[in-house]
Amino acid sequence: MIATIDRSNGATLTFSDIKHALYDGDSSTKTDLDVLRHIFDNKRQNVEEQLLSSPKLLEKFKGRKRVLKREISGLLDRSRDQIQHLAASRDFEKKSGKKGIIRRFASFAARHKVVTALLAFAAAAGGVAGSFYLAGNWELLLANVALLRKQIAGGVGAALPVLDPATKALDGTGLEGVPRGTGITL
Amino acid sequence: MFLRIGEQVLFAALPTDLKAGIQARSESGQYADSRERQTMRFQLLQLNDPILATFAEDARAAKSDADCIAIAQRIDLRKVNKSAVSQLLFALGPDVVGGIIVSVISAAADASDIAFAATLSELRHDMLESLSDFVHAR
Repeated sequence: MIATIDRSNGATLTFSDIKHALYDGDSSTKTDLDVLRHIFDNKRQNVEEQLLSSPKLLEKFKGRKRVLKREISGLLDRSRDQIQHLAASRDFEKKSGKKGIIRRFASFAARHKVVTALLAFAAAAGGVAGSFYLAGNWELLLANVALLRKQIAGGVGAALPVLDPATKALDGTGLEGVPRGTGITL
Repeated sequence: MFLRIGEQVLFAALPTDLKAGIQARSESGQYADSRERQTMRFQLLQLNDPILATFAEDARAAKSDADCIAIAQRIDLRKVNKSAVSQLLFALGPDVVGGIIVSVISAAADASDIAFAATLSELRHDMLESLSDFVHAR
């Protein structure tokens, strides 16, 4: 077995690093959305090359181009996933709203209180009112979920592990800089 | 009504009067969900709804598990912001909605339950369509 050594010395590439690398002195006037547009409007290879030639990024990774390349690749993959899911979520919201399916769902759920409870707990898990998060109350929530699970027949209970204390709260600026809840047109 | 194979079996076993007028079609939409993706969808939520915010506060103050669930079950989703409901369903994902469909069909007692299952299946179908349109393999 070949042992691999992590030579990154703990350096991690952040969305903010990318913003500074792409816009340099102009970075304060650019939003996260500008960065995302740049990433998705340009060929991935070009973005990677642009980032790899950034003196600031190379300095942060102490000249280790291979580590930097790996970090860039991972961050671009995650950003792409996030953007795609945000776009899909907006599309679903628009489509289901137009057909009135959400309204119908809400009416039926009035009779199916377990489904209502599932959504309420999901809201608590995801955070409501912007930055609200049940940070210190996960034990209480999980206990509730365990009880709730007993009340749910079939497969719904299996879905509940999503309410996991490992799900980190965001700081309000969005996952790795992806703006939360803003409409994004790809 | 768009159903996966297992759901079709459950639906077929229902009494004839419950199935009357409902055509079950095969749900062919695919989305490879994972714990990581589900977590990411939750992290992308932006919920601004006073009812849900109040619930979260009340849940913190609840004296017992049963209290907390009772508080949750008192919520009237018809009064909750539609965008929030849509985002929550999307965050839970098509597999969870599938779980609810199974639950509802399994315990169906009247035509209203079947209509709920049909609504859920329509929701999931649209969700899978949106995911297929926007989420692409690397």
